[in-house]
Order: sequence, then C-alpha cells, then structure tokens
Amino acid sequence: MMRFYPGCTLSSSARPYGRSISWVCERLGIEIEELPGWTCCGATSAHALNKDLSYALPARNLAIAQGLGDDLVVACSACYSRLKIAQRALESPQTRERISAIIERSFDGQVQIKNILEVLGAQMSRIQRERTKALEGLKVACYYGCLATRIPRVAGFDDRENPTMMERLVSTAGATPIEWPAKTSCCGASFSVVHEAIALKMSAQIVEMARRAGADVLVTSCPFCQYNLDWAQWQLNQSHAVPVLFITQLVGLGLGGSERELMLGSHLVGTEKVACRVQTRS
Amino acid sequence: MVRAQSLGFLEEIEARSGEPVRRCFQCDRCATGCPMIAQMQHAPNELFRLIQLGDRETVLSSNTFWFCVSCYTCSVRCPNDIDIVHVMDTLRELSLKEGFSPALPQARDFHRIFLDCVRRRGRVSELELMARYNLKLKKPFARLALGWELLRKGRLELWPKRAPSVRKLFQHAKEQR
Repeated sequence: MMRFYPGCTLSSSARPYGRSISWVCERLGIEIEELPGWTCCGATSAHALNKDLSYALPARNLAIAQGLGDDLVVACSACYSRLKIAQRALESPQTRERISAIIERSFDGQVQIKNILEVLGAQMSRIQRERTKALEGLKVACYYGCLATRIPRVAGFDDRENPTMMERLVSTAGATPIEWPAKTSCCGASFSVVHEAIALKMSAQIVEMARRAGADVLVTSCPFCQYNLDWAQWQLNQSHAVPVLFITQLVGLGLGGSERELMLGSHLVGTEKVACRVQTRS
Repeated sequence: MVRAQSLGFLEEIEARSGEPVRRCFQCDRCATGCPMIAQMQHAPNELFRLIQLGDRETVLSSNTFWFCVSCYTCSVRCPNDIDIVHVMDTLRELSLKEGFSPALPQARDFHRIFLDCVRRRGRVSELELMARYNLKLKKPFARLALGWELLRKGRLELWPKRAPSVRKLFQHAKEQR
C-alpha cells in the first residue's frame, strides 16, 4: 500500500483533483490511503521567509511516512517539490540533527516520495486495457509548470526541460497530445494573489500559446497551475477560452468516469467542449 | 556605483545559504531563463556579482528576491550548480531580519499570514488565508465575485478537517534562530 499526501488544496480549490485521483485509483485498484496526521508542507511561504520551517514542516510528514514504512504519493507539485527538497537537505547530518530537534522526531530519509504522474505512468498498460471511452481527436496541451520536474540536485521522474509523462498518459487515455513550447513555463504562482497583473499576463500567455498550437484542452498535474490558468481566463472573460483539466480528470474520462464523478462542472472555464467529445470505445 | 565594502558579505551569504556563490562567472543563463526578469532591479547574475563585491546595502535593498517566483529554472540550469532560488530565499530572510523594507510588502504579509494559518491549524484553509490577507490589505471585499464563483462550484472548503498541532514545531523553530 502507498500513503497519499494530499496537501491543503486537494479538499478545497483543487477538489476536482482530489476527487478524480480517488476515482481513478479506485478504478485501477491502486491502493492509496491518506497519510495519517499529515500537516502542511509550508509551500512557498516557508522557504520564502524561514529556512528551518521550510525543512521542518515537510520533515514532519516524511517522518510519519517513514514510521509506517510506506511509499509516499504526492499529487500537488508544490508539496512534491518541498518534500523532495527537504529530503535532500536532510542528507546533511547537521541539518538532520537541527530539524529533528525542531520536529521532535527522528528521520533518516528512508522514504520513497513518488509523484502521482509516476504512479499513473506505471499503470499505463492497465489504463490502455481498461479504457472504455474514446476521446478521438481531442487535442491536449500538457502543462507541467515548474515544480514537478525542476528540483535542484534531485533526480526527477521525468526530463526537467522536456517532460513527456503526461503526453504518454494522454495518449493512453485515448486523446491526442500536441507539441507546444510552453509546457514548463511558469504560471506566476502566488503572484495571482500578491501581484495580479503579473500572474495574469504569465498565465494568459501560456493559454494563448496552447490555443495557437491548436489545443482543445489543457491538462496539468499542479493545483496552482490549474487554478491560475482557469482564473486568468475567467478574469479576462475570453471568448476563445481553453478549459483546464487535471490530468486525472482526463484519464478518468477515458476510463468511463462521469462528469459528476470527476467534478467536470467545477471549473471556472466550462468543460462542455471536452465532455461532448467522449464517445464509447468501438 | 558599486559600494565595495567587505569580502565578509560573500562568506556570510555562502555560509547562510550553503551555496557556492563565488563560482558565478556571469554566463547569464539564470537571467535568460527568468520569467520575472522584467520586474527585477538586478538580474540574478548581477546580484551575485554585487555579493562577490561585498555591496551589502545594494544587495539587501534590491527588489530581485521579492520578485523571484521560485520557478527553479535558474537553479537547475546553473552550470556552476548554484541553487539560485535558495540564495534568493537566504537574501530575503536576511534582508527582513536586518530591517530593509520589502519591495513587495504584500508578499511578505501573504507569506506571514500563510505561515500563521499553518501554525494555528496545521493546515491551510484557503478561505481563512484569503480573508485574513484581504483584511491585512484593508480590502475586505476584494475578489468577492471570484470567491463566490469558487464556493458555488464546490472549490472552497468552508470547514477544513482538524490537523494535529504544529505549534510546538513553530516554537522550536523560533528558539533555534
């Protein structure tokens, strides 16, 4: 069994992500259970202001996972990045000692932290076999953002500059991934709160790039990316909006999940364009 | 004008960050990939040169680390293996500690409120975070339409589940400083 670290957004702004992950995992028989007693990883705010907290908050969760002896699955790119960065920093005995004193737990780093894309990637042949729906000709721009693949000094699950895991998943789910140049660009992250104009421009450029490359839909595995791209289009009230789905919603559609089960009605930019393309697999 | 002061500043930043800032040889790759470069008073490599020259005042009062969005593009591209984002974090923390006024006070406030939400509840309630941030900015009704839209679509949690307390962890972290 694997333990799941949902992070703070998956029951709130990224609820469709949390919901679709549960649905897809249940459908594929992937056993994941929420990490008991998990707390916030500190996100950008901890490393922006306080180095100790930026290691201690993730370390507390890693220590719980280590105690259980299970692999830790993480969906949110920010959580994944913070947990990985803390694990790397804790390789230093001095840092480990300092942080252990703060969290009052011992931790030796022996935890496998897996991104949800890795976990789904390992199930590709199952998805292929069990797929009941076709998304024929649905052009998908896969958007990774920053933090899933760019972790300094840590070997990732995919290429840093040109990751392809989501493209492979999209193909497996029966849709058509497109080539486009902005898949690891930055959406502006928390600037959508602290300096709207900047994030609006960054997010709108990414969407525009996807649209020009012919995308019917964008998919992402990062809660903040999904929110920002969705929000920017809602804010700009664009006529040619591109819906932004979580990767697990798209995979879920291929596996026969309903719009309700996958929370397709919860997006700021309507997802009707996607839903109407789902056909029964012939 | 560069106000060269002491070589001690370079050593201090290297010790605080654990990053080999002296290795920077101005290849410009960080600046080339930076999505925030247009906002920055100093490109990351320029800031690094100022650190090497010991210009503490200019470095710590720069807006560069406030506009750094932590996308890690520079960190993974640096040919000298300097985790540039981590140096930016170090500079931001030091600049606040030394009383320099932040270029983006609302970013400082946002991060502080975020961490206080974590301290009090163990997890972040986005509703609480945004409400407190709005109050801090004295704009209680900012983003009301957006908030309503998210709530209506089931994307704002009203009553987050209780998480274990991390107050002691925060207390210990404070004592360590």
